[in-house]
Amino acid sequence: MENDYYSIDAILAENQKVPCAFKVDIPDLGYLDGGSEKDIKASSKSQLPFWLTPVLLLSDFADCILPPPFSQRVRNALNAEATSVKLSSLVGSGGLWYGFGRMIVHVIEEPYAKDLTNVLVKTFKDRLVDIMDQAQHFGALGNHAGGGGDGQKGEDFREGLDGTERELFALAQASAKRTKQWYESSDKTRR
Amino acid sequence: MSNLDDIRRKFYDNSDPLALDSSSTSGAGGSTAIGPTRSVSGSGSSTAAGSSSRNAPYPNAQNRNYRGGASSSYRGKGRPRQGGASSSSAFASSNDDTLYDDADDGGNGRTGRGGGWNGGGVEGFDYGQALRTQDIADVDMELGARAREGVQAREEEETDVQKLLRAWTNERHAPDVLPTKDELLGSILDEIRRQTNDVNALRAAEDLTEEDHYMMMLVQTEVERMKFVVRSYVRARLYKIEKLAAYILADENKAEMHPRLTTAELRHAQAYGGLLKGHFDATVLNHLPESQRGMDDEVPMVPNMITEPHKDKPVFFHALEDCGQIRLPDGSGYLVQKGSIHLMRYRTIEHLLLRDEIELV
Repeated sequence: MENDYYSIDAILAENQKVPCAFKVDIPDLGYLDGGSEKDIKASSKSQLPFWLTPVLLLSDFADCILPPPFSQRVRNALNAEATSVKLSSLVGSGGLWYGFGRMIVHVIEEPYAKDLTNVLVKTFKDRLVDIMDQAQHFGALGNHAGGGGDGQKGEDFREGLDGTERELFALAQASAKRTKQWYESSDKTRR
Repeated sequence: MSNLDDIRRKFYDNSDPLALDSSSTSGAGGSTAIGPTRSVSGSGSSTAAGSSSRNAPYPNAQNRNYRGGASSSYRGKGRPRQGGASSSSAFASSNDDTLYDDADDGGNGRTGRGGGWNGGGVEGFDYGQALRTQDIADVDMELGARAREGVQAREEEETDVQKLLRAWTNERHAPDVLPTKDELLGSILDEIRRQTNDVNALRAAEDLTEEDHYMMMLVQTEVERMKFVVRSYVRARLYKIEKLAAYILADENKAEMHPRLTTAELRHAQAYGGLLKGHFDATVLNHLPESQRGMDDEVPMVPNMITEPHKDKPVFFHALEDCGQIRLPDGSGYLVQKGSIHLMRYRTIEHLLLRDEIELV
């Protein structure tokens, strides 16, 4: 998900709503809000998709605030224990929390940008251990439904993974499975 | 027939660099193993991948590697790379002396052992003294000259196969198209052709022992491996060229990019770029008003519609020579010593890669 215009990941990550407050009147565009107004009045709040915001900010038509997936409440929860936060409920099940965070970091100013970056990195580091652990465990054991004692907790965690983490999980699991297959195949032929 | 006996002797003697060269083709399962060994919790997967050829003498290693379907890599006897140190610590990997662990090749200047400030680095070059008495610029020039000598010495000693393997891993890891290695590819392809002909000639002989059959199978396996590496190299370049087709054809990048491509690649880039542009025009751009049809708009906060090479991508690299001070993006300098492994943005070390003083891993 580099700085590529055509990157599908970037497009998906941008597909999140951000609360904005308009500063000026905009005639005839009332339908954007889903309401029945004909015009947008100044200082009216609405939820706009993130990819609209750079233009609005640059031409000074609106003001945006930090979107809910990165609010103070979420940050406190992540500080307390990163693995227990369900990232998928913050950005929708196909959403990309980290991707969205990266896009926001480019738009907001210091020092908030630095803070947000640190939050993203720390969360990723904390959750990665669990992701990899679960992936190897399930991949190596084949199709064990519960996987030992903490089946429920594991399932909860897996539901709460965001898009990037889900990909990593799938990759690690496939890799563990193939390694196991390779081990078994070479054992047989050696005999 | 004396011709066949010659061929047989050549294969058994291991004097032909392509055939049964232990230093270049033994080792752990190729670049796919590098991925898991680098992951954070990699203990599970890395020992699995690394143990496939740990401490195995050469013929067994070849069989096992080939069944695993892994491509060959020239990196030593299978010890998983401990590297990937962050760029903030000049952390010289301590098992460096096994990285180029050639069974036959002792005392080679390439087996860099990255040390600390004292004792490491270029022989006979006292850093402390130099930094105190000379200008930094002078030190850099001196190191630059030595680095170039090192590069040249290495050029002459390496076999074609090792050069190809290094070019292949570099090409796969770099986000940008690297200068083409035309002559290298040409000579490798010649070798492959010669070896295949030799094996075919030997096949026609009547007095083949069991050992001969076995030997011919190994030789053919070797040839297949080399063909795979060549194909993968070309495929990696092609992928990047197609992705950056518009960038390559843009006027301002001509001087930089065109010399890096072969004529065939350039022709392909032009054809592909033309097709892509035609497609965009027909489906989208021609339906827009005149002023919106350009692809080179510069809108702030939105990436350019012409995909540019992602030079800020972090890459692991292994320093083959002493590179002296590198300028980091925040202005500070950073000392890179021979044999050390670091993780940095591609942009900061691109010039070193083009001079062959480092390799990407």
